[in-house]
Amino acid sequence: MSADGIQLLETKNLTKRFGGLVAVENLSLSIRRGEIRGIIGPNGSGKTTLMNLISGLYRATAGAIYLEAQRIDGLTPNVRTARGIIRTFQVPKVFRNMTVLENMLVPALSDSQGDRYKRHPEIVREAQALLQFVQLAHMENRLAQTLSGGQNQLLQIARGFMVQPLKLYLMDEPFAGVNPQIKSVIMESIKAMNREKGITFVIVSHEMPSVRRLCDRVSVIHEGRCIAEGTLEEVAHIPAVIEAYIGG
Amino acid sequence: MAGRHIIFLAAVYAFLAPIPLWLGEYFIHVVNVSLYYVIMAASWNLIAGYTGQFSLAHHAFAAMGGYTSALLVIHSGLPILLGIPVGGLLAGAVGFFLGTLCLKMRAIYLGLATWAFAESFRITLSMGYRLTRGDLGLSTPTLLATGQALHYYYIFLLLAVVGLYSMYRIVSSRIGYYMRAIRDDEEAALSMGVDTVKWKRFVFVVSSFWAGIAGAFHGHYIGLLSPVAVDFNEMAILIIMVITGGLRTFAGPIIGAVFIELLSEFLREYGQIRMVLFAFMVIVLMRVNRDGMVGLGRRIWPALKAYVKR
Ligand SMILES: Nc1ncnc2c1ncn2[C@@H]1O[C@H](COP(=O)(O)OP(=O)(O)OP(=O)(O)O)[C@@H](O)[C@H]1O
Ligand SMILES: [Mg+2]
Repeated sequence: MSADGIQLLETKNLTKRFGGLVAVENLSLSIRRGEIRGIIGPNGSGKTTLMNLISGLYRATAGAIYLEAQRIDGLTPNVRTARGIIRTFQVPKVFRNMTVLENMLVPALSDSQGDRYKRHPEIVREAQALLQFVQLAHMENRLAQTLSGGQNQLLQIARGFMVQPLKLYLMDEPFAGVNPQIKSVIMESIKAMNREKGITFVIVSHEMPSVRRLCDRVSVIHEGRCIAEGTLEEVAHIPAVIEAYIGG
Repeated sequence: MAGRHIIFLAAVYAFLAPIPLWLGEYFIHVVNVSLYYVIMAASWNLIAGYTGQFSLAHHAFAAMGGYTSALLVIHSGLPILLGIPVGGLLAGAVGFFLGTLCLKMRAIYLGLATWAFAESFRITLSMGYRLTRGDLGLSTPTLLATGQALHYYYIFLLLAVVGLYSMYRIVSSRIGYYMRAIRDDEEAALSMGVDTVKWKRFVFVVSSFWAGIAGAFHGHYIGLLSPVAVDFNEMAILIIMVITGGLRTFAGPIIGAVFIELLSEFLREYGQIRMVLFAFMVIVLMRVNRDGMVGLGRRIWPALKAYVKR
């Protein structure tokens, strides 16, 4: 089913339990190569847990994850990064005592990139170009801890783009708590990277207008299960979805 | 490239080599001990400062290197110059296991586990008196036939220059990025493709190795080893040195080790009260200036320059 090469990422009956609590239950998703997929759902429905499962920070209790038809759910996060998966965190995680530029260099110098670290000057130029693109270039030598929340969000997003090859970008609430100007920078970079580099995105977001503008399709997660899938307009009319949002 | 580095190191060595010519025998001894602490503090800074793994077993690794080398030399007739590296390697190997044990531990738990390890080691040294001579202490063959501190100075200096250089190479390479990233946010480092397990182990091994080397050499210099070296006070002194000089700066532990060793020598007549003074100093430093003397210097320097220009 995934051998046709169209599906980039598939999860099969993915389940994650924390003691008695089932955070993700029997979740099966198929993400097409080049797609921008939205993940929406009420608070506590399991969206971040899903991101953690795909990126490898959590081990699934049951089920499987495939990237390009190869099973990846036994791999550690750094090896998944080597396979082309990168992520951001709901609460931005930057390296606070490193400069903005140094933050950008970490993924490019990391084990996941083989001997790319040997081309240090080239990596620095790539990082500077990306910082320019997200309008953080003037801050490259500032410590990350001096950045605002929105700038932290920009930085962690830009940092992820340093990985090569980058196939799948998982973003957890990239628009939460950022001002409209930064929001549009983030939107533009997602669109550009998708169009020009063919990067596939899975974006968890509560921001319906942004989701509408960006995402081809959305998956609605409720109590750990996927209860609907389609365009935002389609799912918005499904009674189960409306109920999940009102009830949850 | 490598040639240039060797010339630089030789120049540093040549520059520092004449220092004892102005000093008396006892003071040269004090300088030697400070060089021992320089290696200890700098290698602890790798694991605790740069990587954020606040290990409290560094002094135990030094003693491990010391006892390993001494016992091998005494019982198997191994030359001291081989015993010292074997001591370092064994400390490094044990560092690997302790590091592995602590992989999943965070801050306080890692501190507790490594402290418990050091305590167990100290007690083992005391109890295994048939081999170690316990609290009586083990008299150790000295490296040189002469007891003159001056001769040891040249070896200590060589060891310190080589040790610091190798540590500098690590922190200024990509591994330095990994270490700092791990300290700031281990999950993020892992998700950005850093093999955090591998590199945390690596730093544990390297830092224990240097502690073992320093401890072994120190043992063959002083001529006596005892479980007192694994007393928590020894670890506390290292912490004080690194924090006073500047945690997570390269020069910090070097400056801090020399400064505290000299200061504690000047205040020798006050005995244990010195520890209270040092502890107080650390608390004040943590309040006003977390980067220690190096941070202070960095702040004062621009102001000074501006003042001079005016
Ligand atoms: N590490 C964990 N240990 C225990 N329970 C967890 C853990 N992580 C998540 N949970 C629980 O799993 C459920 C799903 O949480 P998750 O963070 O995935 O939701 P979410 O959809 O991301 O919510 P939000 O919209 O608030 O970010 C919640 O009930 C949460 O309390
Ligand atoms: Mg969440």
